[in-house]
Amino acid sequence: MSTPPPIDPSSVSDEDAYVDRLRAVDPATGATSDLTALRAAVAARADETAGAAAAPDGLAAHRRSRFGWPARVAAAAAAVLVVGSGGYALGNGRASTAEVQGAAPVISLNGGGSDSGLGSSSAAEPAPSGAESLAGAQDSARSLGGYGGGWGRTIFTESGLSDAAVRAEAWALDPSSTFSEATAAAAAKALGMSGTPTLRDGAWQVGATDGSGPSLGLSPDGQGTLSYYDPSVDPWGCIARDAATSSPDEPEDPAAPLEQQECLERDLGPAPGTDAAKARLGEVLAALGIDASTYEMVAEDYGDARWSYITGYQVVDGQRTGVTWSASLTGAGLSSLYGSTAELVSLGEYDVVSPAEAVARLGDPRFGASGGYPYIADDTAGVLENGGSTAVQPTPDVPELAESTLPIAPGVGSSFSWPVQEIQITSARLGVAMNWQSDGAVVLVPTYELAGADGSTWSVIAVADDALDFATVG
Amino acid sequence: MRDDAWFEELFRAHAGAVHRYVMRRCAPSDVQDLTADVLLVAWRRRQDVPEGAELPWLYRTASYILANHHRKGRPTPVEHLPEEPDDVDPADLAIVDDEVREVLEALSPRDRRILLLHAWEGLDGEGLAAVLGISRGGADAALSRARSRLRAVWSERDTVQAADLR
Repeated sequence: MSTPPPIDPSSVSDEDAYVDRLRAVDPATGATSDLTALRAAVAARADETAGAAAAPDGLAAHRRSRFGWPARVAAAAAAVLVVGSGGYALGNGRASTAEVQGAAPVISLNGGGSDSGLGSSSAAEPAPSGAESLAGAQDSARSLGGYGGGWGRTIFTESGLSDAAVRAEAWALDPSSTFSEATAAAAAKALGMSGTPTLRDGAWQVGATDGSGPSLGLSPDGQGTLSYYDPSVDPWGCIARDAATSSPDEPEDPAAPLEQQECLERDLGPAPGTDAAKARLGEVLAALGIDASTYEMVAEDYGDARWSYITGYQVVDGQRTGVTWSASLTGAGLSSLYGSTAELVSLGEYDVVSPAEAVARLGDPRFGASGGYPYIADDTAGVLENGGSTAVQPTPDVPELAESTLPIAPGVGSSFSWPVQEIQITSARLGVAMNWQSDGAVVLVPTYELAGADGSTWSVIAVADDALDFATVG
Repeated sequence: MRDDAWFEELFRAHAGAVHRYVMRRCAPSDVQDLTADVLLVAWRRRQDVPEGAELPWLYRTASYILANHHRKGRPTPVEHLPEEPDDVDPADLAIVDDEVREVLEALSPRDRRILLLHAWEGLDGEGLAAVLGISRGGADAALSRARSRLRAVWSERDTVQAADLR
């Protein structure tokens, strides 16, 4: 850990010292950006909005035609969502494969206190990157929440669910034994990097920090996140034009380097095939002492021969935990790697509520599952224009009315429209969801995934009240 | 004409910076998702993205998307809707230094936003003005005020701690 600079309140330069202290806790320190995965995620988003309300009215085709760049890789990105929802079984002739099959998808729950429970009509799960493994479910939830309408005020009933409480195992991720110089050094060696790890602002780092070459970071977070990115083997990566020209005397402007980078798309030849990609990820995991056989390896065919992408989903008891490793490879080698080094440790069994009580929790504000979340679609424009001061309103992407219709004022004594959606939950699955504790620790908590008769899916924490600490943080 | 090539260039030039901006302000599980949202908005509203000030526009868009994200699931009284997009919740940050976290919590959302744009994104002057949507002079003044309030919060803290020790 770095020691914050001593601060003398009487010093004339203390404002700078305080700003420096903010700078010292920059959460992005040591992190790398996997632009390839991000690119696919943008494409996935474009495809969702294009396809989510795929009505047989040609609207979807119309929407699709509005998208240029993102749609070009959208078909490939859609494969990611398919992989997420099915876990393994892919149709459509896509070339994705998986060695471990049949694991249930991880359940998406409140993440870091910033997510509400989400309604979703599919358990679609990972976006193509490790740390974002819960994101896909939200995408799906949002798109359907937005287009389906009726979100916001929802009541839940159940039919045929058990009212018997049971017990279920919980887990924690323990980064204490893996967040170390030795782990960073082992990873660097496996990745063919020279140089020794240095501890900078709390994170172990190896290699370039200015985007001029491969960089590796081991972050002091709950998952012991390891990230690696080599811009020189990314067909779309930016290489600093001349790292040597930056003067150490000049104050560093974190926004500036990207502006100064030269970005050229380069031909690095065809990326390695699925098996080679899996083997490479397996090698790295082995070097870190991680048992690759506990991971469900899924390779995606993005329809782009220039890169291949593989994700390993950790599986425990036939259930994906949400812990992932992902790697992207190009013709020139491993371009990025992202994953969790922390050790999975059992916390033992906990009392959990019955499926019927879980449904009751959906209506309990303490569990934050009382409403779906609207999709941020084109309507974000509205958010920007009104200063972000209202919740995003999901405006279904429907054709404009041919002629305006004047709203009719209600008559005297008439009732007021206050639509409430009623969802009948007809089945429940008990699994685990990844949850961030207030201090950043990561746990896998028993969680129900509840399916509605209308095809929607909801999640709610299953742990009984006794083992939940409701105290306000801070 | 803003076409695929324009977006390619935008992505190449700024995706990494936007990714870091979002990474600094939300839970790890949401980073990719929200960054993709920001970039998709840029694609959809490409005619509105100011040439030469793309990155500030992206930061500004990210701040609204993050603010919305943080607000969801947290009922907000309609009469108290903030003017300022509060795009970072110190309680959610993976900050190892608890003192800094508490200081951030003690600041107003606007001061916090300005100080973090300055400390983490390295913005001041024109860049800061563009993100805040105000004049250069206004941005300079806002940053100056935020810096002095940051100092005040720390000083107050130090005073309280000194008193506790007595």
